[in-house]
Amino acid sequence: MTISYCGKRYHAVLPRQLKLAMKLTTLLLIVAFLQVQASGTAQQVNLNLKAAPLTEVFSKIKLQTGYVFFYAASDMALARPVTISIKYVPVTEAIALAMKDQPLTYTVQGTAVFVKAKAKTTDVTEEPVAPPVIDVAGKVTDETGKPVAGASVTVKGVAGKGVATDENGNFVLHGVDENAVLVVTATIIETLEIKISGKSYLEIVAKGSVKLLDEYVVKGYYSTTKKLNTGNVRIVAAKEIEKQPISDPLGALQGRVPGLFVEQTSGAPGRAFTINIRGENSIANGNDPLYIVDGVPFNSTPLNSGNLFGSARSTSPFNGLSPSDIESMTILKDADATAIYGSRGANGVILITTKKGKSGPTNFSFSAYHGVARVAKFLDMMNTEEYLSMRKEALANNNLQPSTTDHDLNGTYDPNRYTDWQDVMIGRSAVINELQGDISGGSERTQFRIGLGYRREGNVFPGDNYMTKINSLTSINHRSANEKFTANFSANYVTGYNKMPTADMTKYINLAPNSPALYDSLGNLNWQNGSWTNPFSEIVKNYIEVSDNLNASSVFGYIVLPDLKIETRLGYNKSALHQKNIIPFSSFNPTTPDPRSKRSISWVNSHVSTWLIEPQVSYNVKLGRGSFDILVGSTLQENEKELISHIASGFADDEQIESIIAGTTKNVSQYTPSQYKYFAVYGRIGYSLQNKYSVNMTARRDGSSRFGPGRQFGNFGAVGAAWIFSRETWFKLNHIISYGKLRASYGITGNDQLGDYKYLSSYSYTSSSYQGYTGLNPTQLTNKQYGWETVKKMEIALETSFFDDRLSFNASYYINRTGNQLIAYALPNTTGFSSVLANFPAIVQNSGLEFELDGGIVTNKDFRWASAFNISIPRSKLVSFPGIKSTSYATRYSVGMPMSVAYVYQYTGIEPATGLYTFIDQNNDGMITPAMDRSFIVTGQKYYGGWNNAFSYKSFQLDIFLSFVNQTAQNYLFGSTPGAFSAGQGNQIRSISDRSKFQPYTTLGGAIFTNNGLFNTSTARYTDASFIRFKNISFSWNFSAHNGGNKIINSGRLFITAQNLFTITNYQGFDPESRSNLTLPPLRIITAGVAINF
Amino acid sequence: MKTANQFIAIHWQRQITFVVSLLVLLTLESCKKIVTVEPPVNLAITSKVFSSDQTAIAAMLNIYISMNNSTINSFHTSVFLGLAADEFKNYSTNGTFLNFYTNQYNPYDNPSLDFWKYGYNIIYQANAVYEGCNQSSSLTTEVKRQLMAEALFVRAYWHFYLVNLYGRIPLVTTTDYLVNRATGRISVDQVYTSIINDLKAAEENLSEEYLNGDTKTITLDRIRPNRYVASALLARVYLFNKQYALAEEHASKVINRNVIYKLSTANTAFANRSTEAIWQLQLPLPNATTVNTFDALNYILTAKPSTTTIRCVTISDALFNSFEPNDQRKTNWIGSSMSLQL
Repeated sequence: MTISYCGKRYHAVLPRQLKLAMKLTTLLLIVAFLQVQASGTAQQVNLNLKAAPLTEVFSKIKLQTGYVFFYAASDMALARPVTISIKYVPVTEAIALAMKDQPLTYTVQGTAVFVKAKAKTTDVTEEPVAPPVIDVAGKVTDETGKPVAGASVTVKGVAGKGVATDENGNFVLHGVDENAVLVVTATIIETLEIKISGKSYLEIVAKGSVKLLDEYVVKGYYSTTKKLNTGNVRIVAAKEIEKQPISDPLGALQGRVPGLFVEQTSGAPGRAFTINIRGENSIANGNDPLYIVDGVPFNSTPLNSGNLFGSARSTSPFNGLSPSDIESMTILKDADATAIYGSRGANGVILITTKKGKSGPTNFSFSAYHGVARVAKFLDMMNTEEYLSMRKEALANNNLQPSTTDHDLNGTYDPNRYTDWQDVMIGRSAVINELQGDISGGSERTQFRIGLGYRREGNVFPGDNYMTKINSLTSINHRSANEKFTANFSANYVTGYNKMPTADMTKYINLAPNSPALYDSLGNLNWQNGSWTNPFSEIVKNYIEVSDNLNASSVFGYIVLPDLKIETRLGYNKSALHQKNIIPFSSFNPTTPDPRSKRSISWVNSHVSTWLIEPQVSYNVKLGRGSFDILVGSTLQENEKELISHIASGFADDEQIESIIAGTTKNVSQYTPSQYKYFAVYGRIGYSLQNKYSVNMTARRDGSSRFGPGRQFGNFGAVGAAWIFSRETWFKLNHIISYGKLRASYGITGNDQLGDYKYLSSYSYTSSSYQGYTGLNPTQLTNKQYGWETVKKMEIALETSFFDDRLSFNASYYINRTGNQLIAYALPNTTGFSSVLANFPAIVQNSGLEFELDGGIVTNKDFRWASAFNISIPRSKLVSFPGIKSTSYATRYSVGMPMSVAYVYQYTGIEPATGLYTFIDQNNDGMITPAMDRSFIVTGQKYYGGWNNAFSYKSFQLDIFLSFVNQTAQNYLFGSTPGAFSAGQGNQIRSISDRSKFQPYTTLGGAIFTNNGLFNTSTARYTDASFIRFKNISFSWNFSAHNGGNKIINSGRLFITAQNLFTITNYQGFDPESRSNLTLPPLRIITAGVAINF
Repeated sequence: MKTANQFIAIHWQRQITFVVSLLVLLTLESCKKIVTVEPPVNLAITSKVFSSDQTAIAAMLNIYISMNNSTINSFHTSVFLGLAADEFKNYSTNGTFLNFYTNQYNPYDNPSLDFWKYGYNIIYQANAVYEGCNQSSSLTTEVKRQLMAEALFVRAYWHFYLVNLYGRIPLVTTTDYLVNRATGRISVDQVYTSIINDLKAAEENLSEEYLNGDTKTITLDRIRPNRYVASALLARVYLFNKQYALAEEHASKVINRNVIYKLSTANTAFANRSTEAIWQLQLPLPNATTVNTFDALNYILTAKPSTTTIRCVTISDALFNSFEPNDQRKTNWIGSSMSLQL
């Protein structure tokens, strides 16, 4: 047999059996890729069957455990159909449950199970010699007194003897040996054995499930149980995401996950969030986490062209997902969890899993909400009278008379006019409507879900601006009859439309309050004889973004043997953005010459598409009391990115502009295609011993086209270990701590988030030509030798639960060190360029502490109160940066200080004699100069986190989620010169008149002006920007509707939610999160809606 | 007898071996191809640029395009230096214009920084063309010779401007950034020595005629340097160095070439293909479709001077008054209009 690969041939002699096995895998081998999933490790059984033949139960148990059943076919004819639903139940119990009520008996020898028909006569003859039998009744409740319905109560050792509890937890068993032992099992409780000891009524209190710890934790390529997990993995579930009335699912993560910092820098619809996991590791390159949606890498970089954007600036590609389609988001943080992602894992990984169908009757669900978004806080700005007196004082201070350009004072503007520009620019209410519906269901072997939704979000800006989005998600899961083959498919498509002003209109709130009217008497834009640029010209221009996102993923799996599974994922993602900026002549002063040339349209198309093939093989083997999980896989991925920008101008009239071709000048101004190829092999060995010790080793060898020949491949890996000390015998005596685990991990990940082709010495075509030749311009200075940035991550953590797991407390400490920083090494201009890309021995350290406290405070039958709190205390430090003084980073970072610093003058207050700002003259030369008198101060977050409180009383539920940040950041001042008037703007906050805090007014020029410039880049611009925000409050009422005995609505929910309802802060200005008075702050959103399932 | 389980065990162990060895092959085999990408279509690899006449010419012509970009062009040089020298009266409220007009600029601000930055970028491009052509064996001999000579001319031209703007400057004669980043300022005389050497080599190798884009055929356009352009600059360099005899010698070469160069009327002196022009820069397409030169766009006023950065200067009174009454330049090149009065 010949296997051809990479152009070379290998000959292998294969054993005969192998050829047979290979047939099974032909499908997957055609593409020569194999993939894995860790199959169940312990001898535990999961079954969910309705009226299934007993033989089917046997085959499933065999598949999951390797237990083999021996029986005569004739005996199976007697067997009754089995309805069973169990999870993680030991195999012997599973068999017992399956065999209960069967006219069959069985014996287990090793892993062989012999089944035969009960001899009818023996029943009769044995009965008299049996011990005395009694009837036993009882009730099963959990620790909170809540009845456990549907628990199975069986008699130990007696096949077929057992009942299920009713909905009140009651059961009756007839004819039971008075010394028998009852076995109580249910998914939500720990399996329990009770001796009857002659009692006829038993109050059985079952331990609430520790199942939380047995929950599977998906770590991307493999999964493990929460208990045995050696890494830092945090899951945010759908119920936390769907409560928030937002478009971008990443916004739902704010404050939810320790170590994950999410910041909303603007309230403009569609705007991307700032996100990082455990700080920023890279000085110059991307610090974005790796996002993976259903196994396929998702482009997280805004696709906007660098020089064309609207009020939302960079729009988030995550608007291409709908929060309502997301089942969970999993955040992987430490080396143990991220090293298997190799060169892409440095900044952490966020796995997004979409919703899947569940077997059962077809379920229709529908939800809708309606809401309103508004700016939560407005500024106290000067009125016309105050404004004009400020301006006059400023001119007087500079010994000036109003000039021809001082329109606000020289009579061009009406001194008695007043416009509240905040109200005009951002005072509107934006209406938000969302509808989501889905159908799901399916049989045991095939399930589906089809979801469809629509969202429309208005703007607080003036004009007819809005964002709409249509989302659809289809998923199909299938298992073959023999349970060996599985196929999963999901496709998510979202199309969005976002019409917005060409600028964030908030920047116009400081227009002079006596600025002219926006419209003239005829309803046209008023230009006041050309004395101002009418801000509404931004609205007359049309800026539109149309986005499309398709994410499709298929996974084919085949269980070759009970412990050996091969799997291949085929994934495709395409994100496209079309930007259109239409500039009609009506956005210009009509007296502007040459209207034809002023009419223009910018037309940008960009897209990124990714395909991926990821085969893997997983294998589980037991050795003695330990268990090995082995995984080997490979990734083949290719991205293609393209941006083309067209500009057309010279239109005869405004109506023609959108037709583009009518323009007399048409240019392609930018065309940037790029390609990225990626190939990797990865593996994992997990070992656990007695469910007490667990070791996890992961490794990846990555090759990336972003590096030059010889530097493309790199190795990454990590080792993690966990010790569940609460399982040690000496610890079990403890009654307070019910679970305790210590874990640690260390490993190396890489960062390849840099542009493509940077190693290539190349020329690029320009858009200009000379003598008929299109110019070829040298692209960059090149260094072919650069390589990955490497991040070494270390973590130690403690996970504990108290009082029978009612309360849990987790703490982790991490240190991440990034070396080999790949920076644009600043070069003197004499080299022809300003920099060259080079690895630099600079080291950035991010360390921190993270705590999580989670527990049920009150768990009564009617009233429940659960609380979850998390806090992160991040620290960063530039450990070393040799020669920083000669780089462009000299004024951005300082060795030994945190990465979040500002290089500013040291403000020392107002000099009483002159009323002017003063600063420390650090070099005592009598002057304050940029080069000599600035120093670094620490800014950024000291700590941040979130606190959720969930209350429920009967069918009412109230969730209050607070997020908090303690930080130092730029304050509310505009950064402008109080008293100056420029481009129609000049209004100030009323408090600027406080002479104990601010110096006298000035126009442009002079000592006061110079000092004001220093003030704006001094410590005075930095302030405490800490806040506690009522991020999300959600109140809901759950109901169901009956018509006689028939349920019409299985479950329904009426809800009211409030996002950003109020914020506790000392910060003056719009918002401590957006921190600018010239950008739209995060909005307060209040919605009401209904969700029903039927 | 083998039990079923044992059989299966053997069976799958071999399969595992196979699968693992396949993956090992994938790993060990240097599948570099998989992660090798072709250069994108909008980029041309440097070595390929200088393997054909077409692309090598495009790299050279890009230098002339660069000399006419939006931040550094003949208008910018003349307007800012003119403002600094009080040849102009400024009406702009733009900070840069104000700073130059009132002599409050510093070297870190634009356009001062631009002259430095783009100047050395153009010198880099010239060095790249020189080196690229020098190493190439596939260019047509005459094209190679002309391009290398043009590159030397451009290198000399920009060093000449930079040394006159900044005094002592670093001399850059290679593209190697490891060398250039460590280059310090050298004396003005040393810079001039290099300029003169470059210009002599250029004068020797440049075509006698003005050439078309193909760098072979002759054109009436004067938008590529020829031998006399190098001579003219050489004359100016000698003049600046007070080597008057040499200055005269080289200036005479140009003057004596009266087939090409002769005085025209004052009105047509600045016209395209003017016989007075020694070297003109074409405004590259697409700009050239709307504007002929930035200078004309900005200096010829159609309305009162603006306060923006376009059409915002007029001739200063001092310069205006320094013309003799019947100076043809004053009567032909300077306009006045009552309707443009402020």
